[in-house]
Amino acid sequence: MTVTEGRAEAASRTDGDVLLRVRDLAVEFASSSGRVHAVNGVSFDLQPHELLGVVGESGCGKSVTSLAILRLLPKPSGRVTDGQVDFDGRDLLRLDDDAMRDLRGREVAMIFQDPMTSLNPVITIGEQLAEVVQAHQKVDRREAERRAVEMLELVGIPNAKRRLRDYPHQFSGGMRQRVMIAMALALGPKLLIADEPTTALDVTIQAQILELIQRVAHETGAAVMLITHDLGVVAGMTQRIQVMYAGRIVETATTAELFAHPRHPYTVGLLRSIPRLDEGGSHELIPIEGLPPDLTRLPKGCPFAPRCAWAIERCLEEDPPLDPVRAGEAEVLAGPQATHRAACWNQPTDEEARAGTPADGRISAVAAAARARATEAAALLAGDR
Amino acid sequence: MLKYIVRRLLLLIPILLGLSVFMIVFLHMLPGDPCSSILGEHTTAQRLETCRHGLGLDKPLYQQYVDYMGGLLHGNLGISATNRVPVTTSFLNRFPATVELALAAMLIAVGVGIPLGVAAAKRQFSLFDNFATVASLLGISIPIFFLGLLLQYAFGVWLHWLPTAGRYDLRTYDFNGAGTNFLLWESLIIDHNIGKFADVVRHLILPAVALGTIPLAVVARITRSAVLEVLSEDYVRTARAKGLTDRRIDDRHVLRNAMLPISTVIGLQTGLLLGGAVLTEQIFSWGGVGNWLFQAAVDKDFNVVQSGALILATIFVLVNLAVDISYAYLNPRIRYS
Amino acid sequence: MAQIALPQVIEEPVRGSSLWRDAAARLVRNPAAMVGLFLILAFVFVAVFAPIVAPYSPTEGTILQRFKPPSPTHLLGTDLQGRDILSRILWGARSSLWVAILSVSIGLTLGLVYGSISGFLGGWADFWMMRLVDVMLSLPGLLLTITIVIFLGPGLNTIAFAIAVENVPVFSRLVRSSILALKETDFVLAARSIGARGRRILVSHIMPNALTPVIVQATLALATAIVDAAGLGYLGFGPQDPATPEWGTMLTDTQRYLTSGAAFTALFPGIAIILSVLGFNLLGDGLREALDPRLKR
Repeated sequence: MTVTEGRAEAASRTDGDVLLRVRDLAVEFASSSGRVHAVNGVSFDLQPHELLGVVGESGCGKSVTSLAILRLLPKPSGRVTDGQVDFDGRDLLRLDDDAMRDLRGREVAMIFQDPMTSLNPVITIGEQLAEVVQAHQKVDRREAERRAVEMLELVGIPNAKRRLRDYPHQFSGGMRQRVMIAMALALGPKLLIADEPTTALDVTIQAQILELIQRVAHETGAAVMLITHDLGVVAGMTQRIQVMYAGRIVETATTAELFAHPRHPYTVGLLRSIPRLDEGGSHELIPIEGLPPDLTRLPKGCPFAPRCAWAIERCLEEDPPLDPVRAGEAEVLAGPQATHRAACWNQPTDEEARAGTPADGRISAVAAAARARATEAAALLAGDR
Repeated sequence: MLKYIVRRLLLLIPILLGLSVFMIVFLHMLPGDPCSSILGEHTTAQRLETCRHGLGLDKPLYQQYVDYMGGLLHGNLGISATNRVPVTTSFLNRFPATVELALAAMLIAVGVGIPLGVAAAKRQFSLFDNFATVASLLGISIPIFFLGLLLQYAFGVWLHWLPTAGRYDLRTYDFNGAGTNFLLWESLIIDHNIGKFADVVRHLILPAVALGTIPLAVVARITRSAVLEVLSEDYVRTARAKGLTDRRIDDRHVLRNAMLPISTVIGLQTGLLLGGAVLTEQIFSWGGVGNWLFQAAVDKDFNVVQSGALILATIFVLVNLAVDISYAYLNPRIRYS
Repeated sequence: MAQIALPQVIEEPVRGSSLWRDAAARLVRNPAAMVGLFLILAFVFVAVFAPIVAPYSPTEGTILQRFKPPSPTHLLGTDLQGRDILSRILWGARSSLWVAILSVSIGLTLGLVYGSISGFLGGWADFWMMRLVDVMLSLPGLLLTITIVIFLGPGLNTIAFAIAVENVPVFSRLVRSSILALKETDFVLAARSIGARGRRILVSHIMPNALTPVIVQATLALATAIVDAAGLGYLGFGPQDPATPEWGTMLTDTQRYLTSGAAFTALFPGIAIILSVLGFNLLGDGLREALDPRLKR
């Protein structure tokens, strides 16, 4: 269907509240150093037209989650070991291959990080665009090309007709990503998954691409899952954010709520490591201590505990569940009324979040040592001047 | 693209020059000369002197080189010291035999090697894949002459299915007509004789299998690794995410890209085979250039060795150049830059 | 505004040896490579201890005993002169091992020197030196090798020398490309700016990277050397002394005897060649996979 048809269809959807429902998803990889537990019990909902941000550092499982949803995990090594993925009433994990193939590109589309390597270097852009249309609809070459031109124009590429015959290397990075977006939205999918779409691009182009994604998603009525490690990227774009660490969701809230009242130490750390123009005065950039966890040997308890300044004994023993931060609140899993939930036994208060560090009485041993070192270093520097 | 071709062609000149210098210096550095083989062992120093003078071997080296190069520019590659036939004539007479053999061998190598490699890549880590890997390593471990002997024995002597020597059955057929010595062509297109053609083909089978085994193993391995490499590329993942059929992904995305390195290897292997398969030709009594050069080397026939090597090396360099150019053509990144 | 970057990354001590250890671990887990290693060890063992292990002397035999098929007294039968084939094969391993080691070490050393000089000199010198390499690599097949052997006379040492000459261009190219790649890495720049300490990192990180393709190629060259030596032996350029058996030479006359029911005389030397060459190829292939950190499994 064309772009406008897609929008009409999306608007007329009577499905109700949930487009995508993921429950207890678990993914493992086989590697030479053992089994890597990339995703450990991820559950979330996504509403139609919703813009969801998925944030976390490299290796936290955010990309793997989306690959698992589309069943695009690398073949021998990646396996979904548990879970359910309901999309528009169907369990994607149990769908047969042909139905899955039909769904990809048409109902759920994905764009990837590096547009240079994500496009086939020996085939023209026009052909790569046309083939996604022809794979799902019985149209002839001319019609597919016409659609391709329409899409290229939609994403803002000048001279669209002529550029159909060009090869990927003849486009700039930003343009290539526009082409990827065009390919993804050509058939008006209900869900667009964007995996680090701007990471490989120049900063100035990043904003353009993000704005483009927002615009075309709105025009086609697609829901968007925007995956990134950069909180700055999701700040202006998304309605809701979920933060991932070590293969699980550690916090989820509407964007405004998350930035204003982060309740997980990892989120606090992420926020504190971005310089913010709206804060004057003395503002220390506090990086998160330590290294990402070894996903082949996950300890019991909270995976973030070894690096956490708020860690208490219980954190090393029990894995905290993702529960509402205001105890007893009803759980709304998606949409603008979504409940703020965090998986933490010892959640930071608002003042601690602003300071980026626990109040004196609540600091963990690890963080105390780090703070001592920092004070020492500061003293040395001050002495040198 | 054009600049690239021109640049490569220009590079040819120093290489070819270097080749000729190298050959002449090298040959004269080694002890011995054709005269001792022509005249035999029991001959007088006097007659050796006369012979050497007659062949111009007593001139200083640079003079010999200049004479040789001069002759080269006139299309004269020298005359064989042993049978007085011009090198050019002998070469043109024998080269078609080598060409037919090389092409037949490469046909086997590509026809079996590529499907094998693709199948192994798609079933990575499976039993089939491991078997294919070991088989191809085995293929490059078998000495050609041993394989040739085995084939001769198994199919020629024991089973009596296929002939073991020569290019055709001398008792039944003869090729006196066109004189190109491309027997496949002559028997089919010129003589329109299916039986003759079949006979030539039957004689071609065993040596082609023997000669083609190593290229087959190499092609299979490179196909496997090229396909594996491409399968893990991002654009294949994109193609899957677009919901394309497996068939379409294989054709337009995987093979189109994998063929780049594969065709380079095929070209190189063909070039190597054209250089004359001495051992195979020896075993199967094949009248090609390999046999010819070998005999000339044994006879220390300078002219033949020098010129023959020069011609073959030039062909090899040209084949390489053709391979590089076609690669540049097939790869849009290079073609449009 | 005080911005303090805390030193947070745990310093891992620079261990150049960890590269080898990883590679060794990967290699051991590769069954094909281990089979190859076993074959090589068997080959070397047999070659070194042939005088002790072989049941008969390689020259001992009478015409009366010719072409006896395999039996308990002669496990692999006897050849055209009544000599025990098994013993001749065991002794033949010495010839092959000798030629392989000699030719590859000479070729490697000369190639290393030539390639290093070319790489370091750069510019026109490098250009012409590499054109010479191109020339040598474009000469047809075994022609160069055969020519050398014909002119210098038959024998194991000549064969080794001829094969070494074939190896020089290959190793030159390999070494030169390693050197060129390393000349341009940031490592060298950084090392120069740091000084002595950097030089140590240079040695323990760069040397392994430069050496790995050479190691792989050397192993594969040993395989090729054995095959080429056998080929030359087959053509009649092997050791002329019957007390020095050589596998290829053992195959030379057998073509005539294929029809007289003595095919086994050709079979066993051929199998010996295949097994030893296969060993080196399997190990070389395994080494290539183990030593390449980028190879996707």
